[in-house]
Amino acid sequence: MYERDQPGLPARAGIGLKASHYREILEGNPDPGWLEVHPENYMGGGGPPHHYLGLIRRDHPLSLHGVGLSLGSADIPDPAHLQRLKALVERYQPGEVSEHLAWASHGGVFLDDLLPLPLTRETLDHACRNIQQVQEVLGRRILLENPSTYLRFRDDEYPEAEFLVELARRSGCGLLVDVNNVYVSACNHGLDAAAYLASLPAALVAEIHLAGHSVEDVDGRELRIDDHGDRVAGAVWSLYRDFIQRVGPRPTLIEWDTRVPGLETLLTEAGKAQRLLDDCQVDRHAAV
Amino acid sequence: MRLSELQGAFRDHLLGGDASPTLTARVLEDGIPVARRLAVYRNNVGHALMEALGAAYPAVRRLVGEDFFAAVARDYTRAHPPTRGTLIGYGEGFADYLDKLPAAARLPYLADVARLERAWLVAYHAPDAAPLQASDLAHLPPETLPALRLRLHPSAQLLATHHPVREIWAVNRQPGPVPAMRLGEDPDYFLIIRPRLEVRIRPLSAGEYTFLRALMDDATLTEAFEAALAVAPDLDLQTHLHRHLTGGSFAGWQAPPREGDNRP
Repeated sequence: MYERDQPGLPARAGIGLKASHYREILEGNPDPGWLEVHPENYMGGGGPPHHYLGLIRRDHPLSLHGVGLSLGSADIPDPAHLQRLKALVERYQPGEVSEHLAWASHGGVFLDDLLPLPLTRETLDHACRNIQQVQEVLGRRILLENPSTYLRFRDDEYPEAEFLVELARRSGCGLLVDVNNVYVSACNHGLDAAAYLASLPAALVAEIHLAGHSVEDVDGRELRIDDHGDRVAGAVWSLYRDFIQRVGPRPTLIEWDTRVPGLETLLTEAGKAQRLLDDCQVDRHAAV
Repeated sequence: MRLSELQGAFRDHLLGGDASPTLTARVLEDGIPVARRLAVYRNNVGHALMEALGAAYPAVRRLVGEDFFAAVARDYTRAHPPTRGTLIGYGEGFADYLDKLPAAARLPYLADVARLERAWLVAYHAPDAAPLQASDLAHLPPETLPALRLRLHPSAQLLATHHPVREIWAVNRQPGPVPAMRLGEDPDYFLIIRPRLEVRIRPLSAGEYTFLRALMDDATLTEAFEAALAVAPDLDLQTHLHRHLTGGSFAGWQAPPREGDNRP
């Protein structure tokens, strides 16, 4: 039975919680391993979002996955935004709190996108300072997710995986590994997704994301776009299977944010991830 | 170039400016032109902000059509980008922006529809509070009533529009065909409120609007009655007060000062 106060998230497959599924989750009694929301959608004072999240939280583990802190900014995190996040963490007691290696705000303007960073020592310093500040205010470790990127900067001083590992070591944050993002970025930049995943120390990996993406043709060259609008691609499933075989079962989320399908479809995708997690546990036991 | 300058140049480009050479020189081309790579981000940002505005103003979007809305949203979001890391509450000045927009002049009621949608959204996300019940006031000595100050529910929004927009709003928030409507000339008065989970839009008379507006501005019951009667001498205030008490329009009260704050 689920105990509301147990720490962390279960190493099971979860799904993103959508407003269109509130009632079905409350009334239909489905059993996703856990649920994830963007805290930015719950930063109003009251009303239906808080009403439903409060009810659903009684029965399900929850993760708060932010898109608005802009941890990669040269600016420090907006204190008002951080306080709103802190209030949500106190109210809903999530198993994990996560954000992205990206920037979204500059000079008081919020662009609502996960924008790419030059992977330099200067960026590392800014991101490390920002993560530490967030962890201090929230009083807990957060997780940092690798983004999908469509460009890279000439002055990068680190490969992305190495940058993330260094950042986790310096700031004390954990890693949320989005296998779809690893695949999308690797395809877009002609890099090796499997090598990227292989370079991440298992001890730093606390959560995994899976999602669908689309493929665009740009002047005859393929560009993969992380639109969270489809089933998880076959290549991503096989990277995921290999990854959890190595690092062990981890809480794994199916993200689906555009053209959101019925709850049943999300649960079916989560079921696929759950079977791989189950296999992985069996294999690991067999190996002992 | 420092990170701060890079992010400033990138932001300006995402909000419609030309890509500065300092930005483009720093991006790796790697088989796809730099402009095309930057365009992915510019399109994502433009699309996200347009959708945020469209989600806040669905009736306006439907009234003007997709192409017109996309153009207005692009200009509005570039001129007034979000300033908070959440998009709840974004688009605050959109009605006033539409009022001044020459291209929207053929739909004179458009800004009023936007005002109603804005009030709906503010009520939706407002802090919760248990509505005051008539029985909560029953134990008050009758002589305290004239100086009583009733507090409106925290979700309550009062709106006076130049055009009668309730029907336009209602049919354009639903899927399905839009019937022909005859628009009157009189202004409309509304209380937009969410006593519990659902936002309600309650049409008001001019006198009733004046009464609630006075209460919102911290008038006593007597002061609010007098203000309302100055606008509408025939107003049946007892009935209206009862209707708002039973309809959840209030969330608290304050008796005359000598008795202190007696909020139950």
